[in-house]
Amino acid sequence: VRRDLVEAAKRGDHDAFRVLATGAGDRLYAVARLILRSTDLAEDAVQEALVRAWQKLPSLRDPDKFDAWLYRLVVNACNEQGRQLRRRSNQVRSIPLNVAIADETKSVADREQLERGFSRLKPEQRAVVVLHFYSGFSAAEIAGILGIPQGTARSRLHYATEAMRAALEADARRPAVAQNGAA
Amino acid sequence: MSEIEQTISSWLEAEAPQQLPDRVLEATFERTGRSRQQGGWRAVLGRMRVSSFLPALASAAVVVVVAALGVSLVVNSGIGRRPSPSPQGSPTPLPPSTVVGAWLSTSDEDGGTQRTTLEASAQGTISMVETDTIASVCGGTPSTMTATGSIDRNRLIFPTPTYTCDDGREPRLTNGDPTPMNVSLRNLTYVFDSASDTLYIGENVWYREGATPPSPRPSSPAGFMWPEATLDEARQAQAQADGADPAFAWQVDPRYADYEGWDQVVEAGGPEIGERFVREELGWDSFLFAPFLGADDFWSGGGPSAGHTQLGYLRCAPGETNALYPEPGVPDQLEGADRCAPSLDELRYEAVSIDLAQPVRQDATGIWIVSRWALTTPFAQADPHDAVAMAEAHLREFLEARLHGEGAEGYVSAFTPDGTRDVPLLYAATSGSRYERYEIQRVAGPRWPEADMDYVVRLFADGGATVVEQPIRTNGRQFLHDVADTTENGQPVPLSYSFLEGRVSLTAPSTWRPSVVSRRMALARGADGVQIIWLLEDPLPAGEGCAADAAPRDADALARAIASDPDLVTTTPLTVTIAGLPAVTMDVIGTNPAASICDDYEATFVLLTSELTPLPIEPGSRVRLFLFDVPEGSPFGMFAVAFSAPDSLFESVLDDAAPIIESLQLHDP
Repeated sequence: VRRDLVEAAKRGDHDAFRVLATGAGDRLYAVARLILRSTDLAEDAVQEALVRAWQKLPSLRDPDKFDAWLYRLVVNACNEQGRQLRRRSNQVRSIPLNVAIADETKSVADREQLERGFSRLKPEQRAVVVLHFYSGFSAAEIAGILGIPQGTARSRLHYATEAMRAALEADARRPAVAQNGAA
Repeated sequence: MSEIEQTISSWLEAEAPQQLPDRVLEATFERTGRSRQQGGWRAVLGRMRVSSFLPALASAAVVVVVAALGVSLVVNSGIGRRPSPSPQGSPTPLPPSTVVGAWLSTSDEDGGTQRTTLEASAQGTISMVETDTIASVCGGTPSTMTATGSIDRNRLIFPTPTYTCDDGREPRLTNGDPTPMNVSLRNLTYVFDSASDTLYIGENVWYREGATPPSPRPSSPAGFMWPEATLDEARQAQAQADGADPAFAWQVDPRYADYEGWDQVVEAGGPEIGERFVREELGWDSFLFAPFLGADDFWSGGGPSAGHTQLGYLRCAPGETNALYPEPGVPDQLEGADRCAPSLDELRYEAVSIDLAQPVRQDATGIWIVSRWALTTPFAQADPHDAVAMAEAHLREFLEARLHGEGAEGYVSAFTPDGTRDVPLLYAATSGSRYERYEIQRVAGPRWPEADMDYVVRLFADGGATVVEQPIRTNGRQFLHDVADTTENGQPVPLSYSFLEGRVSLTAPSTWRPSVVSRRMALARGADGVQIIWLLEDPLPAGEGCAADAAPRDADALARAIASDPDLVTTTPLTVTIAGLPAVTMDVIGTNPAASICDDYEATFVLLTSELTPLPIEPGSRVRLFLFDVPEGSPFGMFAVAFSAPDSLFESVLDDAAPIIESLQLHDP
């Protein structure tokens, strides 16, 4: 039935597209929100990605790749949102975090460290991190989604993970240094 | 997973929002509802023709057999007669001795070994045994395919191959398609390429056992750039381009850096840098930009990854025209296809894929370079003569079965509102009259490259007084019909639409299209969906503002709540009988000047479902409500049917909607 919906949407059936987009909206939004760290930008990115999906659906050759293609569109839209923001303010890394979701497993300090480490990642690294650690795609699948070589996907994932590890470790050391300095 | 990986994963999981706000989707659909589908190469090829057909081929013929054999094959999955010889082909078939022997596949992607043995008989037929050590359709166990066929020009055609799993299980297509394997494999056709002494089916190649396997296709080395070879050169070129040096300024094109501009580039025949690369670096004198080959989508990832990927080009045989598609200016066909003969043989083109990137600056002023190229699997155009022969044989069988009253299922995939593939009026007209004769008319095509065609089939009943007409799009292998296009004596035919998990159905002409949002279902008609029949399960009155009020006791109570809503202007509720069921009906004829406008919808709510999906009334429109108390023992509670339309149209279109509402049926699934 899902393949039928994609094929129908490709033929211009807007209702079929509505069903597909409604089904995909939440997970695309999650990815966009995690990459962009902003609710407003993420909503815009999802909307842009879905509008583009509708307009470009006839050029999607394989209906089975619809989901992967949507991810690609939303990651592209996230980058476009990031670019526009950089052009406007040159402060993409200081987008306010307006998350109100409590995480029982992590302390506030841990979350802040993770947030800080993540915010230092380049946009393309963020996308790979979210697609891998949140959406559960392998590096090979991410390469297919983003249209990049597998090696590039792996290296981005590796460097992004290491960068976050370094950020956590650096932040973890900071209080101790301050304490020593004060002593 | 390491500790840091677990930490990142848990953190992202906790941070992820749960739900996209409805208003985002509504705003999205408001935009998509107004915008036409487009696309660079699609615009070139025409509206809704090759563009929408290619994927159907991929989904059916190709994927079916990919699943079956573990390789990428294109087969004639249609049920029909063996294709008749092409008048363009060589009149002399290959001697069978040319192809006898053992052949090995180069690309069995599941890791098995696929070996094909061909033997010739004294009668001139060819027998084939193909074994696969790992067959995905057999759960990874070995399989054997046997067939007897014949040679037509340079093609080996096997009408009815038999595919079996060696352990006795039934082979099943891995994509979930229930089509029996042996049906999918009908008219399996291998093409012999004498130049390379290989057999091929689409993208898959077999070479002779004992011979050297075909070498990998050339591609660019890591770090490749063109026309500059290094990043330093690229920086210098950027500086020269910034200074408007014409030797480098051509590498800058602001259209490449955004979606809309790129569409223009594609529609104009492709990017200049791609054309220069193919001509100057690959040395192709004649070629065709084929955007449908790749999966290009502008990638704005930032840094060196920003750019375009997988742009496809086909090489044309120099100085030749396309003998199989000689006609210029065919509507909905890629411009120039008639002038581009395949470079490898009668059917196949050499193909290259290239990526473009901006190595220095990723904006409208940055220079573009080719960052990767690779020769890809040769692209095969379909033989239009084969396609016509197969299509018409298949359609004849389909229509004969319809006349006989059985066995016509599965011949044509129909796009239906409920996702089934059933062709309407398969064996009889709406009156129940059986068909007496049929006609087949090809109205367009074959079009390059897949030989897709538009047919119209007509079935006659009642001595010719009743004519059912159904357009069918096909390339000889895949057959598609949109049920909305079925007509009887020129009128759309009524179809049954099922809602709420089959508990409610309506019968409406096929020009009405279904929509499903949460527990609010709708049939819509009109270019902008302006005439809508809604079904709402467990309706709640709209309370203050945009919230829902408490559930009413019955339909009367709901009607009173709506009539007393200060936002709405209504008529007096009346008791009526609809589809044999008692109902309360009333019109919402407008809204009061100070009515609540709900931000997300920019409309006032009449009702909401129990999941808070609203029935809105927009300015200038009117809604007729039918509120039902369902009979005792019904599987669900109260429900509402509503018809909404612009005020100016309301009375005139109500006559169309009334019989649909009257067709309401409740089912106990």
